[in-house]
Amino acid sequence: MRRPCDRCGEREAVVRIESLNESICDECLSTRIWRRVKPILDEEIQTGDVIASALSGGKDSSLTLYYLWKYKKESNKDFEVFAVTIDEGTCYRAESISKAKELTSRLGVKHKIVKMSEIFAFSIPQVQVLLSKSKIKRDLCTYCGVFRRQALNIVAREKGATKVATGHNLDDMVQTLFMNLIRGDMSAMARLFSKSRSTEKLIPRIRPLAKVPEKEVTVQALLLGIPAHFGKCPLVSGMRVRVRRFLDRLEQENPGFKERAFNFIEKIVKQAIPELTYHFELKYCKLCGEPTTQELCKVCQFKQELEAEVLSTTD
Amino acid sequence: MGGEEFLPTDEWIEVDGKRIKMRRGMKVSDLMEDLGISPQTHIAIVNGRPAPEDYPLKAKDVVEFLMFTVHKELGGDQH
Repeated sequence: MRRPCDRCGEREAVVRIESLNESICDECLSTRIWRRVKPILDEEIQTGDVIASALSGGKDSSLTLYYLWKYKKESNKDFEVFAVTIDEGTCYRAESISKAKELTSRLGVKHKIVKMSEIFAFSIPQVQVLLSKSKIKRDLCTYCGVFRRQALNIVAREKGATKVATGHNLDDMVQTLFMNLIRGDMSAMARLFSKSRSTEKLIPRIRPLAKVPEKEVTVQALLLGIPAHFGKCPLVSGMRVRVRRFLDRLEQENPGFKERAFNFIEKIVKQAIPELTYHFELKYCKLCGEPTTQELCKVCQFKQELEAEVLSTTD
Repeated sequence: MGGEEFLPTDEWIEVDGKRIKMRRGMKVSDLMEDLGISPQTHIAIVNGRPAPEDYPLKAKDVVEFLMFTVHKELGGDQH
């Protein structure tokens, strides 16, 4: 044996959990992750639900779909799962879509692929070109995130979904918490922890991997042989990257920091939520009618900005 | 690091397609440190299987590093 598991001593270790000072094997890792994922699924999924699983073809969304499929098989709840892929039009997406197709075919899950340009009349590469010529300082990732989120909600709603499952892992969650702290955005912080309310147009979201570190997600996806694209988006930029590097340094020096920070902030924010809810009363966008917390949804705000840029550059 | 146990040997390991000389008692974490690779962003695949950072490397081990950090916008769930 290469290096035995510190927990069971029976199989070879495959991953180091620095915060526990342990290296554990594939089965102990599977048990550890499932213990974090299953309570979220138990709480969030009810009989009769139709779950749209957002599937980019990356490791996180692919593992999320796998767990939904496993839960459907093993739980006594009668619910449906299908996968939705939003194609932003980047060259990076082509490979991940092929992995997504392979996974859905292997699991026997229905798969809907929608081009972002079919919904918003432009793709992310087109936004990138516009941004490069404009004075707008916002990162491309912000546009991509906002457009994808709305596209996903629209497709899920049209397909009759009652919940949208996303692949956000513990690292993503902690990054978002710290970005909200940096921006002083209490309302966004509250939305992150409040249970999504179902409205006529907004499909509630669930995040089955919210308590699983990204490293463990990666190793688990590899060990399960899940077809997934492990590449990094070449267009990535912005505050999240800087926050991630900062958090990684803290985690390196204080193993388990991310998990403790998440649990700590979650506890505080959940206690404060009744006071915060009035900050994010849901409205409908005056232009497109999509759910928003403001007069205009973010997509329409961004579209207006970009259109103004097009006009100013063609003057 | 340092001391006799880390003296170079004539034995080699293959890292991302290149042969490099290993030191006695070398672990994946030592290799990562040498190469400036962080365990916060990469996992080691040794002979085709994920391996923990405290895995003791052996001669002729084939090591690859997989970067696992991607980037997903939650954006505070802006609508």
